[in-house]
Amino acid sequence: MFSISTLFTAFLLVFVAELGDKTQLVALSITSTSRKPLSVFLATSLALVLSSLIAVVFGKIASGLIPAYTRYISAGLFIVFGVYIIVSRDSPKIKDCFLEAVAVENEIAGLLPKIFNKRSPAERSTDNLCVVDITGQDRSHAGILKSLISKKSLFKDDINDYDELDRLIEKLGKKTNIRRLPFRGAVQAIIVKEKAVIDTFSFIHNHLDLEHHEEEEFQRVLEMLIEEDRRHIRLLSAFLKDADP
Amino acid sequence: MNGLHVFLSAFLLVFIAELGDKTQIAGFSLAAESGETLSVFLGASGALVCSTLLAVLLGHKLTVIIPRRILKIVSGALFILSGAYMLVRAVMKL
Repeated sequence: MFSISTLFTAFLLVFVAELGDKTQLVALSITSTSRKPLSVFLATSLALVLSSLIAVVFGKIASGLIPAYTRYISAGLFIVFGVYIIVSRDSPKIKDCFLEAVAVENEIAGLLPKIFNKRSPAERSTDNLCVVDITGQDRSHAGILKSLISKKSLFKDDINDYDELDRLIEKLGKKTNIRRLPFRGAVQAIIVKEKAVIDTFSFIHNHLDLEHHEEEEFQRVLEMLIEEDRRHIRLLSAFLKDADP
Repeated sequence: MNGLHVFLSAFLLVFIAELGDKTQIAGFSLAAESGETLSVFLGASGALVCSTLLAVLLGHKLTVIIPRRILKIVSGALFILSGAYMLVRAVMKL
């Protein structure tokens, strides 16, 4: 029933196989959109523990049914999976980039009003229009991105530069506690976030080939998003110039 | 999103994604081959909890530290080696 070497084998195999796997990506994207790491960790762990429970219970039943063949079948399955893991293509990464971008756009929209609340009432009345403008646009960006993500045909041919995509995703997901920063620092941090989003859009824009009509439209949408986010940076930079150093 | 909502959506997403996934089949095969239900269960679920912890703590930094390509090769090689080891043991009736 119990042996340390089997435990170790199971641990090593499953641990390495899961690193960078789709489940981890699911956990990541929910963490970054919800910012509730504990809930995500508990739920994901529970789901995984249950799924391995199902696996071993059925494995045990199978070993009683077909004792002579199970060992060959298991061995064959392991070799097939090994080959499959090595030759398989990665899951679509543009989607992950977009999920992160949705989180960042929503984050900016949520934080901006709070940041500008730190200003004096007199300043606030003139800021207000601009804050509402940026917040509204970033929220609609998040919506546009979500609808793009649901269009499966756009992600058929994925971009192959995974290292660059990983770097972009890391930049998007970078955590800074913006709420605790003073006004100037907070606005600067928001500008950094807007820049990361623009870099992501530009990268995807430059790496798509223009064969399909749908992709042409996709590119136009990306260009619009880049344009609007650039305007946000100009507006925010103007605030920094006016604000006391 | 509140905590419960996040909890439920994460649970369902991961649970459905894992059904029939390679790690579940690995757990199934290991349990069938060795008959050691408890060790396989503890090993596999321990590994899954650790990898989730890494995902939540490190985020995408992991694939920046260890490139995805290398992760894939190591993981694939481990599977092939275990398969070969099982095959040898089965043939030799160990």
